[in-house]
Amino acid sequence: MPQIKLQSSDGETFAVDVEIAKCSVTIKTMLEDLGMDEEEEEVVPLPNVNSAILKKVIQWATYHKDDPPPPEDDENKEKRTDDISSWDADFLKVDQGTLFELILAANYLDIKGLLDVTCKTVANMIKGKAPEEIRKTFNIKNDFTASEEEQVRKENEWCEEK
Amino acid sequence: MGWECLPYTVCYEIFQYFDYKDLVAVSGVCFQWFTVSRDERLWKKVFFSNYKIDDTINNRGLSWFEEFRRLHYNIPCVQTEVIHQHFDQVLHVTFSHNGQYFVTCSRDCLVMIWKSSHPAKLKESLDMSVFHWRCAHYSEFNSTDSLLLVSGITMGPETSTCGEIIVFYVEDFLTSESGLLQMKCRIDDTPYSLFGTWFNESLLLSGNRFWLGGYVTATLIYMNRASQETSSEHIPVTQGLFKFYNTNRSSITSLLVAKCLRSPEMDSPDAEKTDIHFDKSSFKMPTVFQQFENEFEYEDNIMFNRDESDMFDSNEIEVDTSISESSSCSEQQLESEDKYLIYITGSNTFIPHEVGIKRIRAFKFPERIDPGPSLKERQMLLDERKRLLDNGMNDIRWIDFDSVAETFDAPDHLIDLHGHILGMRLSPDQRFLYVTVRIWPEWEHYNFYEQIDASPAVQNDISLTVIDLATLEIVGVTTNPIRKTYSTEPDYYFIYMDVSEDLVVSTGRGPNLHVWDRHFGIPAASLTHKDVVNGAAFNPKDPEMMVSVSDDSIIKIWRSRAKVKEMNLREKSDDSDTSDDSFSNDDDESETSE
Repeated sequence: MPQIKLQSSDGETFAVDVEIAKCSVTIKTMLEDLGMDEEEEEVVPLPNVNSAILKKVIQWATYHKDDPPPPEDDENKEKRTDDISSWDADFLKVDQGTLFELILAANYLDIKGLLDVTCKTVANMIKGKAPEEIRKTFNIKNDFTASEEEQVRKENEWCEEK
Repeated sequence: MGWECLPYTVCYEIFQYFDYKDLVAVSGVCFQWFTVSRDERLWKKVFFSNYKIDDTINNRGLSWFEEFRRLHYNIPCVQTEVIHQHFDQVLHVTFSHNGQYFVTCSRDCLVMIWKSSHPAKLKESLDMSVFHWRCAHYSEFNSTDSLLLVSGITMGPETSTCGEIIVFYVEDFLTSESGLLQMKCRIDDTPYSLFGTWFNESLLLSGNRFWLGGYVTATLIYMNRASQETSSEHIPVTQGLFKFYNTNRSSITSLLVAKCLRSPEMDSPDAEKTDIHFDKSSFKMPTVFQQFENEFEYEDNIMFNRDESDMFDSNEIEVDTSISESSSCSEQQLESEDKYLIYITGSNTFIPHEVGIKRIRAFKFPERIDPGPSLKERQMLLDERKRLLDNGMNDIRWIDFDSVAETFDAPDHLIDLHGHILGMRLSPDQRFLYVTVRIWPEWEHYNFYEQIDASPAVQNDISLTVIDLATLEIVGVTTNPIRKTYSTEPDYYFIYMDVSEDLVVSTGRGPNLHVWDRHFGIPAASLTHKDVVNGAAFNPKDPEMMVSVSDDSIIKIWRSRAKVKEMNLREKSDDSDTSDDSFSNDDDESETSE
């Protein structure tokens, strides 16, 4: 099976089956657009992904290489978050920094399946929490000005439980 | 770089898994998340998944966020008061136009006038049994809230359908502490299910029904002054308007008056002819116009002609001359504007299934009552008729409509809704007529002429049909998703609905009260009583307040979540009796203040 080499931001290279690498739409387009010759074993630079994350991404892509293509998004269909496979759930038992990097990598590499499952995981972490709890969980800085915060509170008043 | 810097698209990917509560929560986290959380695509999806509407409906300029918030926050659905003051089934509730008062009528013959404050304060309780009523079931303020029309069932055998309207002058009573409630007039109203309604500030409509033979009756609609004539017995206070022919045990009920949105030429019985279509797939029906052979113009109206003076006895009114004339009644009024008389009827069966519309054209009360033939002349006429009959002339055959059609008025339009009409109500702008119907799914295959007493099986759920009074077309049909709550027995009853700017409230002869959104045609709230709900009304000046009445003798006051928050109220349970406390407190206060 033909392979290509992917180079992470910190310079490490990984040899990956072309078919597996092509689950990333970004890489797939790059190969097609640039007419990269698979024989030449050229190195594809991925300046936005470090080696630890790239390793994880390749691990995920290798496991899911035989998956059917994900269905088209239906805007008005209700989205579920309780359908994460047990392998994915185990795979995503990582610290928050890694999860964050994985989401960004999935977004940059345009791997829909990985983006879906990481977003679902984050959504599950947010669901049912109050803003303050969410900030704490994800270590997010409250960057509202006092007047903005007051305005947001007013706009959200309708949803407060009595 | 942290989570607050997630790219918009990634944030959106995460947020699309959220329902409204989580979307609101994440909006308070940081600026970027706030921006993404207000994405209209997210709110559109939340709206559709919560209300399951047809995705072709647009959001009329308001954002989906605002629409969702409105349906969640500004709909009266929190039970803020439970009043146990009536002793029997509460049948009707209505508000004054200024929203300051509401009136409840009940089977215990009490008419209660309430101040619509929180808590509601009982201003007056009128015991209508002193007028020999057995039930009070309808009331309506005139447009200036100076007069209150009360309608009820008079004493008589259980099967009697005799009703009466009493008009009270309430303006002084409601606006000043020392003001008195005065009775203005009493008017016969039969059958009682006509209710009666205001035509304008000082004129009201009533009706009477006469048996013609077999299953055939005639309904006469009268225009009445809401006052008594004290200066002369020859000045009329009532005037016949229309005379309708009722076949197959049907009758005219539930009078309504609406402004005319159509040109006069379009309103004559044979102005338009439309074939009957019924498209079951869409469940929307085109307008159906009853076709009549003869053209009737109001000016040619021949009602009250002499031959029938026996039959159409003048509308008897008991006069209490001690009550002084008030300024609210203008002299010899000429209405410049035509109005529609709208009523419920049925040409196929006694179950009402058609909406009738008749244009009330400009009219004038005669200067003096025509005294009619003297007793002697009437005797001569009777003798003459007897002689003709003896000589072989045919008597009038009332059962044969064609032979007597010229004697009657025909409705300008009849809209067959092919189902049992439970109630109807105009939108505040009087453009749309909302009708609650239980559709007859099998009506096409039903032979009405073989089964005069029965009617087709009704659908278990109720539909809300909307008629555009400008085009007389049915512009919308909603079906309530709640099924199997209602009996399938054909039965005559009436419920009182209400329509506000945005909402419709109706019931289906069950313990449930349904609040619909007018724009999306979706049920926005389902509320309950312990027994059959008879009606509900929105406060016209504050549609976030609604009052409902039920066979459980209870009046419930509902407010929106926004109002509950604003007024710092608590949700009340069914068993709490707020009115007792407030009522006694109120008494205490008034005593001390005096």
